[in-house]
This record gives sequence, C-alpha cells and structure tokens, in this order.
Amino acid sequence: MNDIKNDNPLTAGINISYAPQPCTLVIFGGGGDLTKRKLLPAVYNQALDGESPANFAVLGFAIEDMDDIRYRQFAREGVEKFSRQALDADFWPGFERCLHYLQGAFDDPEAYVKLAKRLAEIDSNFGIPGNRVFYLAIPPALIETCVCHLNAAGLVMPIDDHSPFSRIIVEKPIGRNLETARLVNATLSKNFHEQQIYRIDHYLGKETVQNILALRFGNFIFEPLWNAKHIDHVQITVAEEEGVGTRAGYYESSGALRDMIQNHILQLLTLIAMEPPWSMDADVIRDHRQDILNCLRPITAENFDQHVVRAQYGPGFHHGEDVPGYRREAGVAQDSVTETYIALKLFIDNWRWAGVPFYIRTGKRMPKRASEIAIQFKSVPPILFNANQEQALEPNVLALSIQPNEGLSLRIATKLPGVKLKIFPVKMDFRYGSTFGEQSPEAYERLLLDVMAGDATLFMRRDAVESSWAWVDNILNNWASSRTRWIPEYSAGTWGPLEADRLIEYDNRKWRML
Amino acid sequence: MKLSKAVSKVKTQKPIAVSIAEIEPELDRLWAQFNQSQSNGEHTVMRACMSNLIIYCDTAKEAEIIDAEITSIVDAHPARVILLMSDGKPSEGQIEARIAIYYTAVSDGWQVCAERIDVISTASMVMRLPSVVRSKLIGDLPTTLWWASKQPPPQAGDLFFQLAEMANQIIYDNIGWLNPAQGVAAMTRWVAAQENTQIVHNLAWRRFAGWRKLISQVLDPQTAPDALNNLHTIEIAHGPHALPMTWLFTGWLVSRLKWQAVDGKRITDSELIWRFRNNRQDIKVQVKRLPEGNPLIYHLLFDWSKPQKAGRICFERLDNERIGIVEALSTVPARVFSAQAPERAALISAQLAHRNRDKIFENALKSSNAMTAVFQQ
Repeated sequence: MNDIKNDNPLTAGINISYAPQPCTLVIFGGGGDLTKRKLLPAVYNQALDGESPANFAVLGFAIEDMDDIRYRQFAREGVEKFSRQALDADFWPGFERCLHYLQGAFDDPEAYVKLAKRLAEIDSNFGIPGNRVFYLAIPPALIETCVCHLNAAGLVMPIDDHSPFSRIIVEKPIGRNLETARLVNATLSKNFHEQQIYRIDHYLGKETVQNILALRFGNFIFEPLWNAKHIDHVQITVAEEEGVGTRAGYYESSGALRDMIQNHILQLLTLIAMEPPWSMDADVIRDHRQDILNCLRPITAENFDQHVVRAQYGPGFHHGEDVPGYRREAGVAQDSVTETYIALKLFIDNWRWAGVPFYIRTGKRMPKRASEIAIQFKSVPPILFNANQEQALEPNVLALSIQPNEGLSLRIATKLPGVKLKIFPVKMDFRYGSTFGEQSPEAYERLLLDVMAGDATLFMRRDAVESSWAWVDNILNNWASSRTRWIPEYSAGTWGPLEADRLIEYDNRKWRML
Repeated sequence: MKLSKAVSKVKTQKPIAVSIAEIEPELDRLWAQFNQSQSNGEHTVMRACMSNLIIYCDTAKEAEIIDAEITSIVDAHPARVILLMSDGKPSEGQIEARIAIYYTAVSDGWQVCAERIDVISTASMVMRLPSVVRSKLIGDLPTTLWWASKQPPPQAGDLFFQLAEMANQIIYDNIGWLNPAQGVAAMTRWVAAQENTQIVHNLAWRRFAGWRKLISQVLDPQTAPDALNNLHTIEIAHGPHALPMTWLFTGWLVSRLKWQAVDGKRITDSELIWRFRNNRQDIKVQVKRLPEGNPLIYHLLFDWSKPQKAGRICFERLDNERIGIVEALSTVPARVFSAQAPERAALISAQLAHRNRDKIFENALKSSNAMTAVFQQ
C-alpha cells in the first residue's frame, strides 16, 4: 500500500517558496523592546498575510510580571504602534489566542521546567509536534545562561529524522571582538548543532539585499561587467539621521565599527562581491560569501591612516533644530572617543576585484537616512563625447538603494534634444514601492519565516562571524594601541568629517551625494 | 502575499476616443501633455511597464466592472492594458478605440504605470480585434490574455485561438459558467494540446489557494498522522456560482491523494455527491450550494474517524476575512486564520507575476474532467 507517512502530497505546488513548519516561537526577552517593536508585529503581519504555519504559537518568556492577558495587551500595543499593517480589530481576537507568556528568571533552572511544561500544553492545544524556535532577544551576556539551561532542561532536540526541531535565533552582537565571538560561538556549539543556530542580521532580510543576487545572477548584462576590468570602485553608505538616542549604554562600548561594519556592511559587501554560486542552497551561498571575507586585505598599522577614518558628531542641526554633540548626549562620557562615524577603504584580493577600492562610510546624525550600494563603472575613453576633460562625462552608476526607498537606479548618458550635441546624465529608477504597489514584508517577517522553514541562507554562519571579527580586530587593535583621546569631529547634520573626504579625494574620487 | 484590497495611489483621466490608426501617436501626445502639466518640465515622467495585458469581454456591463478593476491591477503590476469588447456599440462605425494613461506619484516626480487602449467592436466585426491587438503589443514584455467572458474560452473558437496565440499566459475564470461540466471538458482538452511554454490559469484555482495551504498544513501527517490515509467523508458548502470552483477543489484532492472517481450524481437542485476510491476505502464528497452568499467555499469538513477513534476537522468561513476551525458542539472557533476573500483584480495582478506553468493545477483540471466523465447529470 502507498501509505502517506511523512510526505504530504497536498503541499506540492503550493506557492510558498519556503514552507514554514508548525512550531512554537519562544521569545527570550519576550517583554522587551525588540519584541514589542519588531518581533510581535512581524508575527502579527505574517498571520494577517496568511503566511504563518497553521499550527503555530508564541510564548514570551521573561522576567517581567505578566500573564497571558497582559501579554496580549502588550503585543497589541506593539502592533498598534509599530506594525507594517494596521491592527485589524476583527482579526485580532482570533490571532491573540496564539500568544502566551511565562514569567521566569533566565538563570533559574525551575523556570525551564515550567517552560517545558508550558510548551507541552501549547503543543497539545495547537497541534504542534514539539517543534521550537527559540529567539534570544536578550543582552549578549545572558546567552550562555539561557542556552545552557535550555539544554539541561532537555529542550534541545537532536537533529535526526524522528525528533521535532529545535532552532535558536541569536541577535547581534556576537561578541565584541574575535576572542569573545569565539566564546559565544563555543557556548552555542556546546548546546546546539551549527545547523540549529541562526545568527540574525536583519539587513539581510531586506528586499533589495535579496535582490542583489537576483540582479547579479538573474540578468546576463551585469555579470560580465562585474569585475575590476569594468568597475572603477564601489561605495557603500549606511547613513542614519538619528543620534545615539537612548542607546548610549550600548553604543559607548560598541561604536560604528562594531555596530554597523562588522555585521551589516561586511555582509552586504559579500553579496556584492561574491562569485556566482552554483546553487541556491544555504551553505553554497554562505561558502561563497565566506570566500570574500577570506580575501579581505587586512588593514595594517602601516597603511592605517590611508584606509580608516573615524569621527564623532559634534553639535549641529537636524531638520533645522539644534542638536547636541555626541559627548553631550545622555549616558555618554564627556571624553568619549567612541566613533559615531567611520569611513573605510578596503580591497578584496582576488582576481575579480584586484585593485578595485570599496569605499564604505556609515554614521549617525547624517543629513538623512539612506543606505545605498553604488557600483561606479569606469569612464568611457577620452574620445568622442568624453574628449573634453573639462566637461568629462559622468560615469555610469548602478545604485542599489536599501532604505528608505528600496530599489535601484542606473545613471546613463543621453543626448539632450536639440541641434547641438550635448550629453546629459539621466537616471533610470526602479522603486519596489511604486513599481509593484505592494508593501514588502519587514525584514524580521521574512527572516522568522526562514527559520521556521529551516532556510539559513540569509543568516550568518560561525565562520563568517569569526572572519569578520578577525578583520575588524585589526582596526580595533590599532585604535587601542594609539591611546589617543582625540577624535575628528563632524557637525551633526553633515555628511562626515573632512578627513573622510580626503580619504576618497586622495584617489581622485568623491563620495556620492545621496 | 495578502490579496487584499489596498487603497490605490494610481490616478487616471477619462479615456478619450481616437481612431485605431492614431492610438500610438495619441498615447505619446497624452504622455507629453501629462509630463508638461505635472512636472512643468522639471522631471522626466517615467514609464513602468511589466506586461501586456489583453482583456477580452463580451458585454458593456462586464467592461464596466473591469474598468473599475484596472486601477488596482496596474497599481500592483504596471502594464499596457488592451481591453477588447465584442458586442459593443461603437459611437461611430463598427469598431472604435479609446485611450487613457494611469499614473502614480513617486518621490521625485511622476510615473506612468499603465497605458490603456479600449477597442470596442460590434459582434460582426469581432474577428478584426486580434489584428488591432497584434499591432499594439509592446515588444520584449510578457503578454497575458485575461479571458473575462462567461463563455469557456475554447468554445469561442477562432477569436480565442488567435488571441491566445499572442499570449504567454491565459487567465480565465470558471465562476459563473453555465455548464461547468462542458466547460471543464473543453478546457482540459485545450490545455492538454498546448505547448509547454504557455501558462494557463483559472482564477478559481488562485481563489482557493488559501484553503489549499491551510488544509495541507492542518492535515499534514506531522500534525494529523492518520488523516490523509483514512479520509472517508468530505462535506463542502459553497455560495452561489461557486460550483465550478468546488469541482476544481475536489479535483485537486483527487489528483494529489490519487483517488479514482467512481460516480457522481445530483441529489437535489442544490446538492450533489461524488464517490471516490483509494486503496483502502471509499471516499464520499458531499457538495451543497447555499442559497445566498458570495462565490466562496463556506464550510469544509474532513472526517477520518474510525469506530474507536474520532478524527475530524471542520473549517468555517467566519466572514470575508477569516476562516476558523470549529470543533464539534462548539460555536466558537478554536483557531482563526486570516483568509481574505480576494478581489478579482488582486488575483489577476498576482497571477500576472506568475511565470511558470502550474502542473498541480493542470493535474487538478484533469481530475476534474475525470469527475465529469462519471457524473450523471
């Protein structure tokens, strides 16, 4: 007899590129800010869009004193304030039944016994076959405590064909340098198999970031040009309008290098620079990204000043209003040398990118919020239209905008109408929002579904985290050894310090105006 | 992605009448005029265009309904829309055209997201329509034919075949077909005869996509270990005009679970029953039409109970937005899922982006046809 055992013939052809499996999402730090602003709204949007698994529940686990009813109210407040889609009053009562809360201290073994018991009840009520996704929305210092207790309580299942799955999501930062990152990874590895660990970087869940692969490998026209022969340089900018706000406690010990470069920006760089993968399998993609991290030229003490500029914002204006300098922000030391801005020039030492500089800048209190990757192609030869070097043609630029308007644009030269032969640059724009009309899901929505489906493509593997820290450590060590209490300053509301302009102008190039 | 009715940002102007020969120059003129009026020459008005969409309908009434839907379609999927209406009443002569552009604001200017060309002919001139379409398609873009007529496409003969020849994709909708059995048979034969490159799609299939996903998860062997092997009774209640969709839905279950159709008969005007067999037992599918409602599935019960072991699950559509699982002897749904009854325009725009032939649908269609063969009218 052809009995249906594990296979489900009804799922064939259902257009869900990833098929999230029935599970309970257990949020450690379920009463915290990330949960309220991002995770619970993401879960709500998934359910409203019909993307959640049919058999699905959420269990918030944290120290705050709440019960299920209070937790549902907490979730509702989060959805009302932060959700991509407005709260649907008819849908909410049915949805909120999947939300549960358990109060407990992360270091209390008894709390994990209660957690196991509560999960068993939820499994039974929601027809969930014991699958769990543990989301650690907690400070890094608590990771070890939580994963060790989870394992000790028997809540981590082995990877085999018979057991339900246990997956763990870990937020950045994974450590604060290579040494501490290795310790965090070792702790995770003692308790979870690497296949069960999902190191999340929400940047990788953004539509344009995912579109990088589609653009490069779904179009024939770009890939032949995607190399040192045709590309002059690449600029990656991640600009934030806001100052440090309420995050001074974290930011003072982090800074722009740790906060943005080590994770988000190096991950973007790997997608832009990787060789064509031979399959979309998660590990194939991650292997190819890893190759780029392995090829990053280390920044050494000898060439440090030509490759790295850090700075801190001083007082200035934001939308016409006075704003204080970083050292005047609440919670910031008055002699802080924490960088709120960093500009880098880096090289990837492989055949494809030999000699192509990648200019990177990221900072707080910039004139506007903008994240962009710009590929600047080489100039046409100085003949014909480009013969007059006083009016040199602007080179082609392919710009991938990541936020706030996800999309891409291509700058090309065209003739102005008229009898005279005048060439003018025009920009061909593609915006996700205006072309497709539909709202893209938030990065967290996409990434949570990926975890439920067991797709790790957009998550960082252990080797990627450690390689990027190894590269970043060179810069950190150089700063540490300089012992200076001086740091260049830029006025809030500007595009960064003069030193950063000089870094790129030294190569006869300039930062893009965003 | 949710197929909900979003507030459209797209604007348009009243269509203007033009001669067939002047369609393209007049569209260019409209575009230039718009560019001047909206941006005062400061920005270039861009064109976003992802497809050609040919729409065919029989009547002015149907064209009116489609007219209201085009805005939502092009909002999600910018396209050149060519709306053909046979049996119309052109104001002059026997065939006439109207044009309009649809546009939307982007952050630094305007974007034309659709050009619309209406071609209206009298019934006697209908065979001239394909020649107009042929000359108005934008090259290098995929072309979709949306057959919005109540007549099953192959039964329209040469008009349909000529239009279909230009299209990479054909979308039809069997909601409202007067004789679903005949229509299913004709469509099955035609689909089977097509080359593999052409995509054929029934909107009814997309209408119950949410149901398919939900059922496949709830009856998954992981969560309901015996259900798929031991199903013996299914009850379906649907709203008026939804029998063809229910037929296709049952065809999907039959093809996926490898059942054989044994027989089917009409019990009353609003009820019919099918019997299937698998390698274990007979399966009975009872279908009931509700006296009122939308063309949707409203109630769905799966029973795989054995003498000593209950096993059943019952879904109820709670409203146009939600489906609930309702347990025995309860009126309160145990679980509620978002399942918005999709607007037709949303289904069309979602399908326009679909570029692959759907073998699961085609197998479901074949099984629906096999059900037709054993059905006693």
